Amino acid sequence: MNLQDEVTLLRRFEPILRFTRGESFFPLDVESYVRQSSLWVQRPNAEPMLLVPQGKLDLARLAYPYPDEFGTVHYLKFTEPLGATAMAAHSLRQINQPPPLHEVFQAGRGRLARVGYLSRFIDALFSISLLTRGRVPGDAAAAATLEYQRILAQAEQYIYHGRVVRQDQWLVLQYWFFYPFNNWRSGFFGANDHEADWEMVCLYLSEDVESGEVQPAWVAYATHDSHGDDLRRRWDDPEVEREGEHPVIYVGAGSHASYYQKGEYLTELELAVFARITRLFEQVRAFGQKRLRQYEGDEPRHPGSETSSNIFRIPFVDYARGDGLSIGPGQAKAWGEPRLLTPTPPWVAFYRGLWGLYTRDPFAGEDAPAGPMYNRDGSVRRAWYDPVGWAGLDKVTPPEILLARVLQEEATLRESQRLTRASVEEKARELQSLGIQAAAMRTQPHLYKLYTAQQERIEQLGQELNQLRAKLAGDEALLEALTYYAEQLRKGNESEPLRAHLRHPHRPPSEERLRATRLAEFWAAASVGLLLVIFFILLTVGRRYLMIGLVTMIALVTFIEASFRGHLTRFITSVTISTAIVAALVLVYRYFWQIVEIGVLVTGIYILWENLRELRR
Amino acid sequence: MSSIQTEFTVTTGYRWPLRAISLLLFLQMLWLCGITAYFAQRIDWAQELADPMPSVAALDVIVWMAVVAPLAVLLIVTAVGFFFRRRFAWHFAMTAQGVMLLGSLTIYFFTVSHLRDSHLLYLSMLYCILMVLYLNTSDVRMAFHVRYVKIDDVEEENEFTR
Repeated sequence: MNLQDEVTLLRRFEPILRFTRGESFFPLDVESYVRQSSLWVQRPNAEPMLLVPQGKLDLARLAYPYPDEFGTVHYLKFTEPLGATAMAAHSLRQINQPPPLHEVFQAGRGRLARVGYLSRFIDALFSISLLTRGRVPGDAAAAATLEYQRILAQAEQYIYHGRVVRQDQWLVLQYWFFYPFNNWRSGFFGANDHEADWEMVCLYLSEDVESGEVQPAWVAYATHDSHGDDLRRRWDDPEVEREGEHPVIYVGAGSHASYYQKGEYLTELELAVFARITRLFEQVRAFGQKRLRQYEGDEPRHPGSETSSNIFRIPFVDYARGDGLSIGPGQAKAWGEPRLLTPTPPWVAFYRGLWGLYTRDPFAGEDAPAGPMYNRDGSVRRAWYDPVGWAGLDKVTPPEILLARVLQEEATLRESQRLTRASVEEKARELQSLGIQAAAMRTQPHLYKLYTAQQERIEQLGQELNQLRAKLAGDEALLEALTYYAEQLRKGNESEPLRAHLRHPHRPPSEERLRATRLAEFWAAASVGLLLVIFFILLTVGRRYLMIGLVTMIALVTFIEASFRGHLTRFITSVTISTAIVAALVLVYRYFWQIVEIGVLVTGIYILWENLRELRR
Repeated sequence: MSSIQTEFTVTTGYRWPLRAISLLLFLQMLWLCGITAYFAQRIDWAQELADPMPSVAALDVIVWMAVVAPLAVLLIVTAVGFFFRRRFAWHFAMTAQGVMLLGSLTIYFFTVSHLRDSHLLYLSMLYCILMVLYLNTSDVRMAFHVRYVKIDDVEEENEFTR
């Protein structure tokens, strides 16, 4: 396939991107971004150093080798801090020329109203931690917006970077979108801000061997909370919205993650600090459920669900409403000429640094990403070297060649069975011979050693024969299944349900679940702060009643919370079980030796009873 | 129509545990009444009534009785609810255990009451703990598994299948 064919193919299936109202950054060509940027280097225990100043950098220069010591990070810097005057001017412009109301983002139901109490508390700690850890400066989003608007004013164009790869009989079209800035935190109450953002979607085409005609079979969108099989959907899945041959992508506001359906997605950030506590919590719960036969509940337990089991998580909402600008064929804005990533351009292959500011954030959320080919640590992205395996498609055969592969598999299995059967016959004969020899030796004392060795061989051969016969029986059943499968495929029957491969599909909550009263919203936003204020008052003026005050306050607050969220049953259960655990600890503390004595006595009586019962039989 | 219809079914396999819980709750009520009577008979009420200010021990017992009296009523209602397999019974039973445990822990942690020296208090706590464990077992919870079916949904479904 020549380059023109690749471009034609990419354009034939190019996606439609639907953004959320209020989005400031759209896919652009990396060339214009790099020309506006400067290249920096951060060596361990040293101040950042400018390598190439703004205006001197281009894609060719970016691809130069920059050898350096271990731990060195190369990064681009798209904007300089605005400064007080420029920031004031920008703010004034925002006030004097506000965007039309229909273009302004409205958060709707707050993220905090969607999750539990502890999550809210951890979220507050996470927000406070931003003051101490590395982060993108507050005026960076404004500076990036101004810079991006300047680039758009020079030449308004919307560009994607395309790549065509053949892997495992699949023809993969990769669409890479580069955004100059991710303003999820500062613009949409999300987890992070960072300069530069690379996002990607894959289209998997099945190619007819004879005619060469291609058919889309699967699509996979890169999202925050999905991995492997959960990333992909079948082309004919109603969840995949399409306009002609163009898949529709709902882009997360500020985060630019890609979604199949429009909606407000709850994504969760799990901090490594809480991993141990979470594990301990899970173990205690598992003990209760398995050993004490305690109720497991019937609520879904996976990330993204509003009743996920992991309470040590920070909730964020990714708004992918699709009510803003639309880019793509037949939309408000059309795609410009795509930039090809095949053959791999030098700036992709040789620049391993970050594509924006390096903030040294320990959680890495505020650091810019690396390019399409690399992870932040310089290793190659799986989506680049194994786009098929990245979406869990490596175990799936393209539909165009599926029947042929099934028949081939059937033939291979038949041949394998023939060989196994022959082997079984041979080993069975050998085993019988060994049995005859052993029987003959049994009355000959001088052949004891040989007899023992023979017995071992018989044992071993018996096991081998057993394994072979089991394999034969298994293969027989498998062969029947393959024959039936081939028959179904010949009839054109789809054997696998559309979503059988999905384990934890990330879906937005329904409109009904998002409905909440203003009071509940206010409560969610204010409760943690309020709790701390009351705690402060108790600490300063009523220290004598601190303990009882705290217990009453927490009980009251969680009761109100449970009522708002319709979780009264869970609340009653949790409170009662927690109280029972505390009471059990009190009993153990107070009656430790009596408990030990009773334990020993009961064990003794039980053993006595069991043994005597055995005697009676 | 926005009302919610509640469908509640208890299969025959779950009846035995429910009746056992009903009996256990009734026994718990008797136990509470019994220990309350025991605490009360240790006070010289004639002396207390004669004094203008009741003693701390008498006050402790009065507070205890004030908590136990409604709890005993709640336990009877709950026991009857379990016997007749009413949905509210599980919530009531769990709430009663929670209140009893919270009361006992309050006496243990936050008071200097003479009740905290009585073994009977700790036996009550043990009874409650065992009841909580039993009430929260899968069998019992499944017996009270409640499905909410919106009438609107049912009508839509029927229309669709027509």
